[in-house]
Amino acid sequence: MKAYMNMKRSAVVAIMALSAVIFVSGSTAEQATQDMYATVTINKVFSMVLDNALIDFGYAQPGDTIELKTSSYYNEVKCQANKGTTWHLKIAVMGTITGPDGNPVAPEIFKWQVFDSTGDGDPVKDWTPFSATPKVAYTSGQSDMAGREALVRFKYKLDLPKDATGGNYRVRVLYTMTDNP
Amino acid sequence: MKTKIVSYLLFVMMMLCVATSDAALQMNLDYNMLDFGAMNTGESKEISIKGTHHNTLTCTSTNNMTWYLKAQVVKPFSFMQYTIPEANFKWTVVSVGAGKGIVNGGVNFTFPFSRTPTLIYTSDPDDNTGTAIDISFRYSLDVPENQVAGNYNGTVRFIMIETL
Amino acid sequence: MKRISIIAVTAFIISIAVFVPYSDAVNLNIDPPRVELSIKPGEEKHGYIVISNLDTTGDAAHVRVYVQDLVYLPDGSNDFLPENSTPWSLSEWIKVGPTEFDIPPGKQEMVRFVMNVPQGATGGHYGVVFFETGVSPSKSKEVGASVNIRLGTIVLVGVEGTQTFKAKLKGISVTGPDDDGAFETSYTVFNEGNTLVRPKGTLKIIDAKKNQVDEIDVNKEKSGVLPQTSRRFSQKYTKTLPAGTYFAQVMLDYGGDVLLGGQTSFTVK
Repeated sequence: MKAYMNMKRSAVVAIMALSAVIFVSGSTAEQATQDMYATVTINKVFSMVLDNALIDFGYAQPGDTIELKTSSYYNEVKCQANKGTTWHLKIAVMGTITGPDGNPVAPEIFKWQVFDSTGDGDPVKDWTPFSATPKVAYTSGQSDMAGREALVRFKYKLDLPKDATGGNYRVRVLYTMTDNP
Repeated sequence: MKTKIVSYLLFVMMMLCVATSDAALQMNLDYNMLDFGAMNTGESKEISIKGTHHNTLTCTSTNNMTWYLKAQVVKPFSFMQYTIPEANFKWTVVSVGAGKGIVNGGVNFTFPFSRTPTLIYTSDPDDNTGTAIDISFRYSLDVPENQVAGNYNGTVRFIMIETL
Repeated sequence: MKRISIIAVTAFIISIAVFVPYSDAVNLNIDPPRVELSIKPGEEKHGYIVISNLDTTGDAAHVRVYVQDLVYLPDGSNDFLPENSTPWSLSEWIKVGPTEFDIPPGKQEMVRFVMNVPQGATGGHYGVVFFETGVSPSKSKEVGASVNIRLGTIVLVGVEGTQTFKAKLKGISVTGPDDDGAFETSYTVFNEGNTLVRPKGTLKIIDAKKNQVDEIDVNKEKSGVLPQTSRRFSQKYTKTLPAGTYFAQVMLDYGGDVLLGGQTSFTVK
């Protein structure tokens, strides 16, 4: 019994010492490390740039169809947003269009289309009549939402009805850019 | 008798452990925070809040063996699921104080951080006998043109090690 | 010689007109583009929106600030209605100022808003604060269109302690394949509560043997459904499936106590 107890005691001491060796030798530095914590705040951007604010059809006769820049685009809107959420670019006509005789003219005689775009979103490429209700011209894609500049290039067309009066027509076009609610 | 022998041997082992428990490699970073502040997309910025440098890593070895200083990105700049590429975050060794070793690429050479530990400094035999080697750094960050807005944070680890 | 000179001068002028780079006519930035607030009934909160004229040359931008109501359109975009046009309007709660000002090139203006929630108000209320600037046409032109641009900050207000989140799935269908071989899963969510919900979740494709073939996230953009309105969502599935019968299963989390789920079958020939 005594021999057994001695053996047991020896085993316990050996295990404790071995543990101490392992623990202590583990802290002998074969490597040392230091961490550094880095931070940065990326500013929000939500901007729109328009390059050419004047949509000029020139002088129109009744029955004329005037397409501006047939083989290219007329103006471009540069949109940039980096919130990581979808945004839309919309286009509309503001108020009533008044003809040279002072009578209102239907906004549908003016049309627009997205000629092309540099972003990865969805442009509206069909000829679309202007209306007082803003219509989506471009919806952002993944890269567009992360801050890459998207150039949306527009073309415009005027279809002056045969019974219209030739001369000066003025209309205000409204471009709207908003985040997705 | 056996118990006494075992006890004596264990005592000697413990003494040896105590004798060897003083760290042979020691490293101290004088300032472990790096804040680039507010940046715009597409902007680049270099930080050295002390004028010539941003912080200093003091490395000491008494092992009489070559040691290497490395750096790695443990966590890239992250905000939600968005990250800034590690390679856009860079370091430059500005000076090495009393060190006589080799700076990878040379002093004032800029290196991109990476997830894989990248060599910064290789010690000279004169660096291995207890001399404190002060390695000073500047840091820079290039924000990509398309980076989602937010507060990003990341962690860099400096490693001092005797194996390459 | 005189004719050649005229031709040369004309060509030079035309070349200038064609090749001279445009300069930016209008360049505006707003921060933030979205404001979300939670306010108790009878209390108010303040904030501000910064509008910047990023054009560094040229004239000051003349800016007008106004508030409009917000609705969703079937195409997923939002539309803007006059103030107090919708049950969730916040037009009577919000005051903004200044409402008209000039911003010189390279400068910015801080527009403050105060949101005052009346006692007894409940649920969510939504609107948009617009910043609009106009560019006048040249007087020498006869027929043309002058242009306004505007940026809008979406404003979302939740009346604390009164919001109810309740929605149901109304219909799920699969159409296709289209010319590219893709199937489109469509589903409609009706918001029965009084607060905007953003149902997001997964679309699972399951085969006839009840094995899950694929899983994709839906409504990752977290598009919302306004209170007491429906909204149709659709998700294209473009991967090629072997011929057979499949199930499209949609599971949505809109923030309510329960998830919304629905399933429909479709056949790949």
